[in-house]
Amino acid sequence: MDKFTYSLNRITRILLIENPVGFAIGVLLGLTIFSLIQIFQIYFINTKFKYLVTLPITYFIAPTLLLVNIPQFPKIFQGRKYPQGIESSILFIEESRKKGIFSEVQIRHMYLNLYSTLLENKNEEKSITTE
Amino acid sequence: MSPNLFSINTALLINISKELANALKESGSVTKVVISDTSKASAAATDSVLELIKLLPHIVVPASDLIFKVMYVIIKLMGSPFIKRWVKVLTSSYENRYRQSAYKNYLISQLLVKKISSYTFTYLILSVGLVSYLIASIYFNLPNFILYVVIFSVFLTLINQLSLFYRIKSGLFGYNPAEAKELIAFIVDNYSDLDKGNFQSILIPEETILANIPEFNGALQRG
Repeated sequence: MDKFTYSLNRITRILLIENPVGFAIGVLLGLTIFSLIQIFQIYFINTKFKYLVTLPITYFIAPTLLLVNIPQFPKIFQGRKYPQGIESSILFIEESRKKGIFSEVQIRHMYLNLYSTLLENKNEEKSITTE
Repeated sequence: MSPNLFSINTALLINISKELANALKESGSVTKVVISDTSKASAAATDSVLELIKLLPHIVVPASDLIFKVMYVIIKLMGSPFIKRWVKVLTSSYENRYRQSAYKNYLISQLLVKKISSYTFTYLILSVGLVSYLIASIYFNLPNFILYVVIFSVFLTLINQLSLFYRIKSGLFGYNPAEAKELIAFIVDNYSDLDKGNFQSILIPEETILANIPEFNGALQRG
């Protein structure tokens, strides 16, 4: 169930592009533009933009989704920069999990320890270790 | 009735109509604004809100202007204190449930409150889209596919929300790199807002964590 719900959450997140509010606004904007073109198609038919009337709805939603989520792209493609201590701690925990050095309970406690240390010493993020 | 006369009276839409009426008056589209109980238009509109919506474009605005007025109302509504207050009301029941529960000192409940607020706003925006579609479909022949897109979007958001809630409730959240980084980002970004006065060192109840590990599940049940 852990893997299933995690995969489900990740898949929908990729579709929602990490930002549910941005996703909703993007869909709404796409729908609005599409509806406007459909409503005013009489005015478009006699112009060089008449091809807009025949375009399917996905051609409007996809660009607006991308447009609204532009501020999220650095997060998605580059990832957020974390202090070296945090990055190496997570890397160490995951490698330990893969190699089977520690049990699942120990792995979970290492994660909890990481969060607790961060909460207690937020200003000393660089010194965080998984001891 | 004069086309320049703006006449509307329904308790539900009175605030919107005042805003709209003032905007129309300021822009010079209408010369006189009357908000009255006695006009024929309002008498007909009291039958139902739908009737009023049907009357609105004929009385107030020409058809070509309708969509801009609808967009104006939507934009006005999105930023209004009324909507913000309703988002707060909608999320407060969840907030209270977690704030008053045994988990109130856990970091995860504070993350959840933030997430719930974001999901509520998403549903609200999609509902506005759905209502706009339904209103517009009264006057224009719009394809049904729009309806499916909105419903699919609501469905996706719901799956995302339910899977996240399940993971948090079962104590599965936060034990893989992606979720760990999300939680760390939340701590770093909201450090000053976090309720740390009575903060417990363990983030998720110990029993919940252990119940989700097969080797401990049996032992807990026996205990």
